[in-house]
Amino acid sequence: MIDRLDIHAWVDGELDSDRQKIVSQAVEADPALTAEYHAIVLTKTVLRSKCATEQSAESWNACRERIRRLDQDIRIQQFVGRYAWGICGVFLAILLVGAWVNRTLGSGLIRPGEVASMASTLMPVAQPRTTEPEKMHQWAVGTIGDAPMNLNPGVCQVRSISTGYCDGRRIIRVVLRDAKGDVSVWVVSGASTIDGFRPLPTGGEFLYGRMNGLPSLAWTDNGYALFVAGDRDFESLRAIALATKVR
Amino acid sequence: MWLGRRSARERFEKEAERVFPSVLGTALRLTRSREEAEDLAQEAIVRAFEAYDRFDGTNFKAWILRILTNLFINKYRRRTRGPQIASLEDENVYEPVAEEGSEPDAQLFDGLLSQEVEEALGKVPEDFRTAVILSDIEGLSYQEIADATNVPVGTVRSRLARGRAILRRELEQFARREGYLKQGTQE
Repeated sequence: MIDRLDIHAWVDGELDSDRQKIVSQAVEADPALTAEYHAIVLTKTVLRSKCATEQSAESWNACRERIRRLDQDIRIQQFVGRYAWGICGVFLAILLVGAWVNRTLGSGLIRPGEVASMASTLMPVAQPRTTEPEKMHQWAVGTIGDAPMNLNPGVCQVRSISTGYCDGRRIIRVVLRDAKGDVSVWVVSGASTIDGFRPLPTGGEFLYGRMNGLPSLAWTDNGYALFVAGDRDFESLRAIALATKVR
Repeated sequence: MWLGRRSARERFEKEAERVFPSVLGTALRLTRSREEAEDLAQEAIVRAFEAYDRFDGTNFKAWILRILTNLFINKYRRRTRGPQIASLEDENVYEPVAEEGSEPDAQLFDGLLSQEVEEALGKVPEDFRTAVILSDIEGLSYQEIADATNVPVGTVRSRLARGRAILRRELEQFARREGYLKQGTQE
C-alpha cells in the first residue's frame, strides 16, 4: 500500500527513481490507483492547456516606467550618499575661490554708491576743546595720518572728521567749510579705479559725477580714492579739490 | 557605478519582461480581479527590482512568484473575494481526484472553455488554489512552492492533492451543466 500523495508527487516529477518504481508498480496493480493517476494527469493537462498566459503590454509598460523612475531615484540617492562630502567640498572651494577673486581682482574698484553707503560705518573722531585754527589744523593732520590729502586752512576750515572700516578698507570723511558752505572729502583706501565717474569736459586730473545726489569730483592717489562732494557747482568743487590734492 | 547600475536594470527588465505574463496570470488567478492583479503584479516586480542584488541567480521566475505570493498573502488576501479559509483538518484529509472505480475520460473536459476552467479554479479555496496554480500552471517544484507560501513541503503535497480533487469536482460539475459530458459517461 502506498501513500496516495506519492501518486501526485510522481506525476509532478518529485520522486526519486526508487520511490517512483514502487509507486508505478502499485498504480499498475490497483485499478483505483490507476484511475487516480489518470485523473491527476488529466487535471494537470486541462489546467496547462486551458489557462492561457496573460499578455498585457500596457501593464508591463507601466511597470517598466515605475522601475526606471525607481532606478533613477536610487542612483541619485547613491550618488549623493557616496559623494556628499565631495559635493560640500566643491561648494566650499567655489565660495573660497570666489571670495579670493573678489578680494584680489575686484578690490581696486570703487563705486560712488558704495562710498555713500559706507557713511553708516563711520564714527566721529573727538575734537579738541579749542577754537584756535592752528591747534585744530594740527589735530586734523594727525587724525588723517598718511592719507594723501592736504588740509589748507587758507581755503577751508576743518569742521569734523569721521573714520571707520568697511570691507577691509579704511575710510575717512573730512567735513570742510568755506564761505559757500560745507563740503565733504572722502578718502577710501585700497581703491585704484573709480567706476561711474567721467573725466571733466574741460580736461584735467579730476573725474566728475554725483555721489549721494551731490555734485562730486574724484581722483585716485597711491592706492586711495578721494571724493569731494558738496552742494555747489563743479568749478567751486574743483578749487577745493586742487587745494586738497597732494602735489 | 552608474553604468553598472544601468546594466543591472536592463538585465532585470529583460528577465522581468519574459516572466511578466506568468506574474500577471498568477496575480489574476490569486486576486480574481483585473485591477488588483495589475497592482499586485507591478508591486511584485518593483519589490523584486529593489531586491535584485539579493537574487541568487537560480530561478528568476520562481523567485519573483515567491515575492508575488508573499505580497498577496500579506497585503492583498484580506481584500479578495471567494473561498479562502481551509482548516488544517481539511488540509490533511486525502480526497481522491478520481471517483472510486471509474477511469477518467480524457475527452471529458475537451469542450470546456478557458474561461470555464478559470472559473472552476476560482472556486478552489485560496490556499489550495495557490499550490495548484504554482505547480500545475507555473511549473514550480514543491520546494519552491513551500518557499513561496511559507509552509513545509508536506503541506504543499496535501494542499495540491486536495486542490486538484476540488478542481476536478468543479470541472465535472461545469461539464455536466454545460452538456460537455458524453452520453452514458458515469461520474
